[in-house]
Amino acid sequence: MSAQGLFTQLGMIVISIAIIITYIQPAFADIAVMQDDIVIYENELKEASEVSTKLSGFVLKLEGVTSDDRRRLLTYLPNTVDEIAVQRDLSLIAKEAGVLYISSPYTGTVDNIASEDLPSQSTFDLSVEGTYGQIKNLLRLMETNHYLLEIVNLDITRTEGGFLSADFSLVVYSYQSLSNSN
Amino acid sequence: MSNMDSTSNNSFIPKRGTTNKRRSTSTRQVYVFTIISYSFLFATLIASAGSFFYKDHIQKNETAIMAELSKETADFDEVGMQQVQEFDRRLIQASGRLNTTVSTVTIFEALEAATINNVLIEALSIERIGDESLQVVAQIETDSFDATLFQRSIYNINQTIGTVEIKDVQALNLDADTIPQSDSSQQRLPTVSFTAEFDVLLSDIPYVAGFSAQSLPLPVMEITPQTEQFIEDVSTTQSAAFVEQANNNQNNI
Repeated sequence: MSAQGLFTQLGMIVISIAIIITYIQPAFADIAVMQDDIVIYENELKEASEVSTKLSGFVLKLEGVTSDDRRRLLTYLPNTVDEIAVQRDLSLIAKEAGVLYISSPYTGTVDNIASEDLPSQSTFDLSVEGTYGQIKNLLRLMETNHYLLEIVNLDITRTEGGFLSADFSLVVYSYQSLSNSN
Repeated sequence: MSNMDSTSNNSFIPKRGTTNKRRSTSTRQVYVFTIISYSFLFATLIASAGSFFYKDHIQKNETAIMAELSKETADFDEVGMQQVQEFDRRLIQASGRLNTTVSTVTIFEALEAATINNVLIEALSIERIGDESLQVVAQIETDSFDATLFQRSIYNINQTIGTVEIKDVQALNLDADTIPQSDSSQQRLPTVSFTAEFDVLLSDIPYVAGFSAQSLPLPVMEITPQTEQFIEDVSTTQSAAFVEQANNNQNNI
């Protein structure tokens, strides 16, 4: 082998190594990164598709809820409590039960910031007088109300003439939305 | 035969000698290093071209999948998501309250069933302790310690009203062992007063819907359209029937 041929071959090897170092190796590294990215994107895309599919299903279910059921739910847990309407309802329930309605002042609303699963609470103090049967009837009517009238405190005492005085502390719940809790 | 030999010898084609000439062969040397260097160079070039095209292919794939992801993200129904989340949250809140709804009437009925005849409940208070239990405190009067003991035993075996604790037992006028007629005198009755405290678990007195008479809608007017409708209105006839039915049930109890 001549010296010129040897140098040529050595030059070829050097050029090859230079190509590997400057192009092939970075290209392989880039390809690896891109492949990893593609795997991530594919997973994200798959998850996004699944979420979209699930969401479509939920939206369909939501649209399948009848307006009557929506109204019942909205009645049971309204967006806001109209305290005057509640007081009017309480007076009508008391009248229906036959008790003597005295008062039902609204004492305030508290948002349950601690828990997302708890609705806001509006409190009313209901005072009535009547016989035992009438008060029991009032309780029964309150239980069957279309929105929750939760009794947190009840004091029943005797009054003159055989009547009973009942003082209720009632809670009416309203929906605590995401924006409210945030 | 000799004639033929003479003919062939007279041909104009030159005859080749019988002596075997040795053919000279020129040998070319190929070195292993040469093979390696050429192979290395060509392999490098092929790898370069391959990596270039593969990288291009991968880049196109990445771009395509990124575009697809962007499209999926852009097409995401955010309004629908918010609606579903709000509805789900409302359902959770409503079901949470519904699951902890109790029937206070059940406590009254349990007390009615568990209270003996010569016992008088002077005052009653019910306090809800979170979503766990109800604390019922009754101020009770009776005419003797025996009745008190008997009443305590009756309360203890009642399963609805849970654990009972009798406190503040006070005796008044126990020497008066005769019970006067209702309107004959002002003589005081023998009295033993005590406080009975009950811890009633909410799970023991759940509200169960479906009581036919009570399931009638309440007679409440519709509220203004700008707020939610609380209760349906109902005719007065239904309300009257409802009250009548409720009174009948109460009488039966």
